Amino acid sequence: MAGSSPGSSTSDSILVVGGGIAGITAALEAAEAGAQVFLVEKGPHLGGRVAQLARYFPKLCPPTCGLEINFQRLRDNPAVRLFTMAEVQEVQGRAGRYRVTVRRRPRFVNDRCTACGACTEVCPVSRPNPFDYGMSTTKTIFLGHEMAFPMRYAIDADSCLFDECARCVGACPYQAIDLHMGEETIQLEVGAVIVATGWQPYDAQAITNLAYGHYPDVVTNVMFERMLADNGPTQGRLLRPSDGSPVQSVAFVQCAGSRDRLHLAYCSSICCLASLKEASLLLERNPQARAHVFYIDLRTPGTYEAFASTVLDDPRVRAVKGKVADILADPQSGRLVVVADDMVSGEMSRTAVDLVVLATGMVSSLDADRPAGAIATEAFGFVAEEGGEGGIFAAGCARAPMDVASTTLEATAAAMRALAAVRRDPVEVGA
Amino acid sequence: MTPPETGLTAPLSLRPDLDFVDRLTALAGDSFTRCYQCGTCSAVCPFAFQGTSLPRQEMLLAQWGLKDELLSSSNLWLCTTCGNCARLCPREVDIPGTIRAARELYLLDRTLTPELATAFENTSRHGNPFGLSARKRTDWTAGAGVEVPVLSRLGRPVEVLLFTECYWSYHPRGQAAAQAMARLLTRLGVDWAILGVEEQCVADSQRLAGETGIFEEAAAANIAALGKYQFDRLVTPDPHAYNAFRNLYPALGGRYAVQHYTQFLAERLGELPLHPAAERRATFHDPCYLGRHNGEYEAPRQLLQAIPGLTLVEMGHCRAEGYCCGGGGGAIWNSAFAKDHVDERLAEVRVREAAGTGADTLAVCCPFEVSLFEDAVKSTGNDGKLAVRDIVELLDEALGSA
Repeated sequence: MAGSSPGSSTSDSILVVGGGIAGITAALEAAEAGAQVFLVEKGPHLGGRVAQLARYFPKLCPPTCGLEINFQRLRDNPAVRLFTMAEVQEVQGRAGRYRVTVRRRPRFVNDRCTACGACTEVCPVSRPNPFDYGMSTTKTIFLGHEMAFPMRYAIDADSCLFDECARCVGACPYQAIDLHMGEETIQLEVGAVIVATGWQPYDAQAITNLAYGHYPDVVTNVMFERMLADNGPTQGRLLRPSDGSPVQSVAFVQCAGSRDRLHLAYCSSICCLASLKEASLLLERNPQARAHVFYIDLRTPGTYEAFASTVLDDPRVRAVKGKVADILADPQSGRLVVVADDMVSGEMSRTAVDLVVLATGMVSSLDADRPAGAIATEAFGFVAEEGGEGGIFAAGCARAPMDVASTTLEATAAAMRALAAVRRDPVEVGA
Repeated sequence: MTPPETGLTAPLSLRPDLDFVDRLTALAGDSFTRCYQCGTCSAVCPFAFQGTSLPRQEMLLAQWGLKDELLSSSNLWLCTTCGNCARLCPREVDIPGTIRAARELYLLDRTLTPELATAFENTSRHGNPFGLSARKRTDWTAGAGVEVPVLSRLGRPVEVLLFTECYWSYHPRGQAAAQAMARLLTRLGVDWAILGVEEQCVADSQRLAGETGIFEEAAAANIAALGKYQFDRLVTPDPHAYNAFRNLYPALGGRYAVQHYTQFLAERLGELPLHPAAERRATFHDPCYLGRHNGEYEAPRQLLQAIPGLTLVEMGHCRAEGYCCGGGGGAIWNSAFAKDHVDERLAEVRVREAAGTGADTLAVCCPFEVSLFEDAVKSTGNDGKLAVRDIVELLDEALGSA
């Protein structure tokens, strides 16, 4: 079994579940402190939700630079063993000795791939691109994005025609494509587990009054990040999905599902700042644009208040204290009218805009899909850490909704605690 | 951001009445204390076009114990308890229940509008809000063209008790629907009967207008009368009565297998020999107390879709998002008050939406709606363009016995 130390009943290896910013950080911190680390990622590439952002806090840089530094650290560190397209099925045992079952789906592309792209030239099948939340397409053989790590293509098994087509196999100059690759089950033995499974955007369609899925110009905040991104579906040009016309005004709808007992009863903590950031990026892209932010309370914890003030002081940004309850289409102009009761003026506010951005909340990725065994979830599906002498730790949005800066701090702390757990002296039974 | 102008010329003085908060809580529960003033309720309230801040403002006044401000608010009597606010409230506040409780406390020492006072007085004295003689409750049966069995004269158990309620018993347009129902039940060969003059107004709308006493007295009388007879199920055309029988009577000792008439007929649809009558393009108005409050959206649509020659077109506000007709929660007896406080009646807003679908028929299945919508059809200039018909009338028409 991989990871078991000979002659010992315990393992000093660490399993990190999830290859987003939390998992990458935890894996590197633990490995650079000397531990053997297994990093298991469900998708074909690392980077998670952060890779899909246009810019991120606190410095508002594009995610590629921060991730690239981390990817370089991973390339340099043989102590991190990476499993992509792999999911943890089961975790059994106790601190110092967990038995982990990992299922790895076939990538159909081996490590001879150089990401030359010859395969995509011949692939006849297109599919919605999940990296752009369906706003663009990729071929069925694809690279997550231009900075993807590992820099290796993968085949989407749901849409590939396999032997019926197999054109990519012949087109690949490196014999890197194998359409008969099978699924593998991998057994690991580790001393500690760091759960960094992250989050999913809340299903906006469930918030029926906000008309997502009904009007194409109602999008979610994660979609808007892609629209703002240079490597997004429109290369950062802000165009209305309905007719491709330039976006001159945006309504940001806060608490789209969050702080709502009918949807997510908790505050997703980052959405107010995310919308203010997106408002400032909107104005950077289009200085003539107008942003309207509709909120219950603007929650900008700690020193982020300074950022909030800067954005809110801009005369092109209008903040309305009132939750958007209804979205209507104006048949004449084709624009959307958002309706909110403005608490401050006491007037019913009806604002016509080109685009509505729903600040949808964060749902734990483990809420629906939890591995069997020792990983437990608590309120709202976020990870419950084992107390006392336990060896299961959580980092980032697997534990609670939080921003990237807090996530990396948590990931470092989780790595430190996991190291302490695997280096703890074994308890002498019966001594 | 600059602080908002308050518009106040004198120092603001608030006198919270915490005892009032306790009394409200005793009647409605404490869910209103959870309100965080997001304004979802007021933005989806059918009166949102008026900018009334109903019911957001009322929830704040309730929370703060501002008794006089709450009880003197005209919003308190505009609310129809349609429940669209509660459907979306992120704090799950029982908004209609809180409004109802505030009305009950209002009634303790304040004066009602003459219209509403008269409706209450009539219900209390005559068992119907019209003030007509209880003996006239069965007058509609004369024009049915079929025999209408009455339980007291039948002297045996029946399968179906048709609890006609007041509008089908007394209102001319309601009587027409009741007569159509009698013909349908007869044609179906249903073993049925009515309670006749022993029936009393269920008074659920009076309860929602704050008059718990009238409701409870009427319930006691109805439960006593119903207790004398045996029937398999109780079928009523009135969603308000249906709401009371389904949700309130069991706790008062009245347990019946209750159905709205559309639910009963939808079960028997295969047995109705429907023929093409008139080509109609119909839209359907969901009654708040059948749909939103009791979750039945399908039965009325199944009936409409089964009528040969009828095409069903939906309005934008339909099913759970249905728009109120303006009659619920006692508002049907307070129309002069509403007229003084809002620019347009809800029925008029709704009729415009219905006409906008291109429909020639507005199908309904709540007895309040026929007269409200027929008035609104005239006042909005849709006379001759949009016919208002109870679903039972459309079915009767398709049976060829109209």
